[in-house]
Amino acid sequence: MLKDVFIKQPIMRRVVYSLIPIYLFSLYMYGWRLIALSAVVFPLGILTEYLMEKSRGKKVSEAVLVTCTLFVLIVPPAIPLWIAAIGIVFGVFFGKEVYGGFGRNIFNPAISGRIFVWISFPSLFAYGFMVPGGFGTAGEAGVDALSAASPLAMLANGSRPELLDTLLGFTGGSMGETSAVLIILAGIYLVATKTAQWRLIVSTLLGAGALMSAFYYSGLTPNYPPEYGMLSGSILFVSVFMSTDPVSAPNNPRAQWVYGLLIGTISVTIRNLGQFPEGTSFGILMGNVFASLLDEIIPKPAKKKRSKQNVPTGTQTGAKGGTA
Amino acid sequence: MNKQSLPYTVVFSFIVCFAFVFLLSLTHQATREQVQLNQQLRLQRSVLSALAIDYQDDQEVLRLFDDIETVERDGMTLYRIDRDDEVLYARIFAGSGVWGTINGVVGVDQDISRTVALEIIDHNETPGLGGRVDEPEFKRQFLDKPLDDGKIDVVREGDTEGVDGRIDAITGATGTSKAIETILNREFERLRDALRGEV
Amino acid sequence: MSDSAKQPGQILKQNMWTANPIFMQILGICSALAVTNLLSNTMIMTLGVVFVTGMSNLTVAIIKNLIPRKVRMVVQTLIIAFYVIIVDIVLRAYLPEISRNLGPYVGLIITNCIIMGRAEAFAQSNPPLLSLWDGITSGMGYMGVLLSIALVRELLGFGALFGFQVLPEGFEPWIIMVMPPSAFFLIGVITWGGKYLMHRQGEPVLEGE
Repeated sequence: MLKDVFIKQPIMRRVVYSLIPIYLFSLYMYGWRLIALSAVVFPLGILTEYLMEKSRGKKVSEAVLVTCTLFVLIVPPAIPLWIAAIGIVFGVFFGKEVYGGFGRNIFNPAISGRIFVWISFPSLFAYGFMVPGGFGTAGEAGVDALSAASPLAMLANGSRPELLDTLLGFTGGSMGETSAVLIILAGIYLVATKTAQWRLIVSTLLGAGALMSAFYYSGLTPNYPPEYGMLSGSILFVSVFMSTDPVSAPNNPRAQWVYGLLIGTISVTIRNLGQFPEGTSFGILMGNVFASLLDEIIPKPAKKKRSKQNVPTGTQTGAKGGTA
Repeated sequence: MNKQSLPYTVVFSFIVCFAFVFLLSLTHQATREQVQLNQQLRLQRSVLSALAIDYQDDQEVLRLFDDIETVERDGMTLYRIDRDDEVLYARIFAGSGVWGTINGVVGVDQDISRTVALEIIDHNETPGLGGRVDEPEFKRQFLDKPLDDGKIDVVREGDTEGVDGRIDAITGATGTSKAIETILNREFERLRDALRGEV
Repeated sequence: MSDSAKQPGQILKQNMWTANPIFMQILGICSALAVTNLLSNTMIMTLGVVFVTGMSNLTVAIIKNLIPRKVRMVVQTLIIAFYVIIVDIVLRAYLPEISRNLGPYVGLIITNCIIMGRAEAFAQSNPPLLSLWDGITSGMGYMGVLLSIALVRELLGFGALFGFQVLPEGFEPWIIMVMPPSAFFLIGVITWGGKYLMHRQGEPVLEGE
């Protein structure tokens, strides 16, 4: 049955496996909200891809399962279901299918959906977060959309969340992005199974951490100490699951370093200096925009001698600029 | 006649330009007064709103504005009105918001102890977020709002109704809210300097 | 592109549908993004465009035999600019509020490629009345698409149509619809839908330029 619908993609399966602990953790944190959200997001995401691929005579990629899981985990828990529905349909349709389906998309579909929802409904920042824990019942009984400040909002206000809580994940925030420990474990699993490219994870974290420290120690953003900044919001989650997306990231190792640094620094700039409380989604989209350009203009390490004549020379590419 | 020759081309271009520009000038002249009146009305409407004066139509705006005196203090243009035994001032301000300049008019009493009203003329804030400065819900907060130590304080949470100087920030638009706070407090400062010794 | 059609009916069909300036020729996109968040603004703006395309086509067609070849484009631009400024002045005098909302976009009608394109491609080689008709229908093709975009954007962005609240109080507005990027998505969808329908009808589809 399922074989007729899905293309088998072992890599994508491993990403799904790595997300299972995080999913279970957020099930503990938010209970039925996670289930309700999944019940909306998965069928719609798969259906969107199925309808589009059917007209091309192709099957649905298992990547859409990753997209749906990621999408569920990066939206705020109290998001109304109809908004989540719009987000996933937008993400899969405009983020992926209009480019020709799996393997051809420029942008990460889950992030596209998230950004569309964030920009369309900014009031989510105000009421989207819930008090976590106890399968979604930690807030007052009967009140399901109790708003709680996410660690990022606390930082912006000048207060500090408990560092241990942000590490373990017992803080407000989007569904699955809070537990630093589980995300790091998933990252180790993905790197060990060669599913994700370690360079992308390390460079993204490096870019974010370096800029955050620079901002903090120069006194520009005294509210964001780097150790809190790195553990709050979605920097870790995005580094492990988004910047490593094999479709939208560059392939060439040096380009991957630049790509990760770009994502990390843009994310932090927008988060700390901009109007939006979180900047990682913008970081990823900006990185996506430059991914193929980076592949093109940054010389590959001298393993293969393949001289390309149309490589532009002398183009500035920031820290790693060079000539072909 | 050879239509591609140089003399013809020059003469033709001249005539065409002349004819069209002439017609344009005519139209411009015919509507100039109306355009000026529109600009004047726009300013007057904002000033009236900032002094919490209601109006129905353009005629009434012109009539009501007759009661308002334009005065110069410290090089600032102020609009003054005597009402209910007190003197109220309105001042046009400009200051930087998140994306661009916010222009508006704020009305205050003579010793800058409260705001009379706030009117936003234009702004470039994000629609739906900072753009909500221009919505009645936000502006209403400035109706007869006592200041706290000559300042307003835009806060994100807590009670604002009945608390001196406290204004509820726009949800999701801390930048714009802070900008309004900075701009207005600066204006209060300057107004106080300018109006000192008038009491 | 060539305009072999000389029948008013065919011109109408071409300009409104099979060679629609927006979704078939992808012209005039800039204003389609900028002024489509409120129906009333869009209406005034597109009426302005209909007026300018129609009148400039008419004028060019009347004096086309007098224009020296060397200054042809300059004279066309002059004529278009003339009508655009007339529209601008009239709006500023009699519809100041809308004129302020549209901002620089009224003046920028002159850069709308549709107008220049029709003057050059049609009015230069056709009789005045037919050119007027061609200009008006081209403007209407533009108008149709912009109004449909504005319909979606105002409905979802403000819950209103022509400024009247039509959706219930609890409706959550889609902020992105108020901002220009949303028009990109909508134009994309309209282009897709339009071309899809044309393929099904077996119309010869004009590929993008």
